[in-house]
Amino acid sequence: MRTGRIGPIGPIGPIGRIGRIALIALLAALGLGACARLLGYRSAERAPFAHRAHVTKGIGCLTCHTGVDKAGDEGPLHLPGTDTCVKCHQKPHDNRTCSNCHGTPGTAVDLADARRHLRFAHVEHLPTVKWNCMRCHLGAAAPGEHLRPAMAACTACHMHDAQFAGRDCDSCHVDLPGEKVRPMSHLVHGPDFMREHGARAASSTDMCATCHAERFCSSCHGVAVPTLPSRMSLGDPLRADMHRAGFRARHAEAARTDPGTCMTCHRPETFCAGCHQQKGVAAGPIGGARRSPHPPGWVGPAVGDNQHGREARRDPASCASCHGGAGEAMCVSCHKVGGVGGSVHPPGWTSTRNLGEVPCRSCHRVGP
Amino acid sequence: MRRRLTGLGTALLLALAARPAAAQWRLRGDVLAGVAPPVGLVVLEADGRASSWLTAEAVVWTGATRADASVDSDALGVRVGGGDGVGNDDIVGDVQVITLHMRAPSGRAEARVGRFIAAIGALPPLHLDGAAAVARQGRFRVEGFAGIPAVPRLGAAAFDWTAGGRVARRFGKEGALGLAYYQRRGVGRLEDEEVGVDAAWPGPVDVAARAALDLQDPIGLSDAHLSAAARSGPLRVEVFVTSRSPSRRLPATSLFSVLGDVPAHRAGVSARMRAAPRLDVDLLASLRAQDGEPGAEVAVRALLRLDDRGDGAVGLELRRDMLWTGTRAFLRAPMGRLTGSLECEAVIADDPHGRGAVWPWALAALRAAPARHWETALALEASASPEYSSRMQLMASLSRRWDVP
Repeated sequence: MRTGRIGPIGPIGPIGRIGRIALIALLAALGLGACARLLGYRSAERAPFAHRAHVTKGIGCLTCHTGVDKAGDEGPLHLPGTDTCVKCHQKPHDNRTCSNCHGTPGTAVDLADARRHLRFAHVEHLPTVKWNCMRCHLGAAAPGEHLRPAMAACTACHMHDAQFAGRDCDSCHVDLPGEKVRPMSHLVHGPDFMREHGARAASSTDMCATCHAERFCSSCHGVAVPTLPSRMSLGDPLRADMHRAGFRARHAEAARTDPGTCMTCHRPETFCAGCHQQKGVAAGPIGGARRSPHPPGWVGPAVGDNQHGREARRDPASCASCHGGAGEAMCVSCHKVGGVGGSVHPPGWTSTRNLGEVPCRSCHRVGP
Repeated sequence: MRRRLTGLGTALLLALAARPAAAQWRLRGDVLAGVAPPVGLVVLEADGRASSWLTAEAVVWTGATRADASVDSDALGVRVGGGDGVGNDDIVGDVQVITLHMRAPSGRAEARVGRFIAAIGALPPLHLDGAAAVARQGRFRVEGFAGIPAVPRLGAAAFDWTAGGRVARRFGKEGALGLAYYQRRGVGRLEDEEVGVDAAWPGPVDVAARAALDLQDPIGLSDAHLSAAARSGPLRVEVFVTSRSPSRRLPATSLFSVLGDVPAHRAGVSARMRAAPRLDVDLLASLRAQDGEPGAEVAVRALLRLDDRGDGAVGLELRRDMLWTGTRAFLRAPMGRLTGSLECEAVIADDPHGRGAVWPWALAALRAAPARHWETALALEASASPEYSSRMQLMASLSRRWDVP
């Protein structure tokens, strides 16, 4: 007797299993097909313009892009309209505007952005390349429609070594910060960008500064910021900001997970202590309105739940965020030399710091 | 100090606004207000180019909050009171940035004066009132800065100053190796003294690294970061290692800086893949270790753009951190002249200490541009957190931008 696992509608044999897999695959394919447009896969009716087909038939670029050979760094884009197309395609298959279907909408936007942000004059370049547009517009020979030449096309002739070394971008880029174009080589703004950018920017500060103004850095690293950057851009949940969403609720967990990171921007003794004192979770006068965030047995004899020493070594900034400055007196009362708390230094600790200076003198009495 | 900076800010802003003949001058004003408690904020940003060698930038703000708002006074980030954030003032303000940036036409030298961020090599970024300069010669670059560390709310502290510099050499097009040093003094006492090394080597594998050595006795590594990234078609993968010593990030005058060196280490991989023309998927996985205690972190994020330009988008993020598990969903949807957005987050802490099982947060906003250069937004934020059982806040913002052609 054949045995099989009992499914909701009976035994599932090999054929039934294959059938189910096929059904799931079919549903997945149908689902993907239905979502294809949503995912950005294009149907043929909105294909890139067939530049290659026109070029291989010997149609010169200037036939359609009339006047572009005399274009300066301002003026129209010289994109052909339907009237240009019907000069050759005298019996169009559709009466609507040709560019509604032939060519992707992003192309015109891309070219308009280039016109607005770049100092470039075709009239100055065409004689140099002997009126061969393909020297720069390599995309015209490919099936795709990335027609705006990459910056590498510029630097193939213009070495720009001096400008690059001096970060002199203004000779071509009208207003690089205003351009807000992220270079292709700069896709580091992923989910963990806040960690990665520090390493990337360390050697490339001036490269960052070609696009990012001073206020961009200071909006996070500044001590005089008015509010979180995300507050200043209400309604933009895609903005990659530090401390997004409900960070305030989980900031203690974040600090404990990544000890020391907060101090990249914040001084715990000044930044944290202000709020912690307001909320009554900081060290304060005995009997005052405060509540301890620590579990029972946090301090006391070095047995049981007394974990404050180990936790303090792991994340001293968290301690300093409430007990820093004048609050250090609380620690000193037990840990001063000869005190019941014993030495705060780890085994093998050596230092040549002056015992008469802060913070050593808090516990070490020097002189008579 | 306060009067001097305020006067400088006002003069700079007036100068920026009164240059109709100059090109690329921008001034932007933002007003932000919330109802719980009544808090208002006005931010003015201005930047522009006076000539080919001189640019200026300023961000100044003023805020108002209820004087007796003791718990939620920082609802918009406006901190009440004195420099330590405690007090009873109801009008506050500060200067975030005021800089004049001078640049030699050849690009061989640059200088900044005012209030700015000095981010030099592997050293921690410093917000200071002072000056910085850069000189470039061939493949070499020398930079330095000096000034007074910025104090919130235009405060001042006696005998606080910082100074540092960096020497770097460029390799190839974008490769670089730099050596930096700085020290910072508070009330005349040495608080921080570090030397840093940074390196970048772009190529098929894009490598960047930095390390800072704390020179305070005993000498030791305070912060190090190595990142190597490679891209292949729609996939970008990054491998990273970090090490940070929390006690060395504290000023040497802090009692907590003598507790010993217990560095926190982290190693992991992050990946971004364009799974479909409009769909990006990000992955992050890392291992952590500190004081012999291991931990792990995993995060997945998917972003689906709803149109080719990405004006509309929907995303979902799942994260398992060492101490909490959370999810965040967000949506931005253009609706004619309006743009609606929704952002939700739910966090479950492993050890909530009786502060509630789930910490939810949500913000729904409507944004509109009623006229050219004008932008307005209305938002409702609702949350429950360990600090309070629940809270709801209505916020509104209004922005105006002036461009002088």
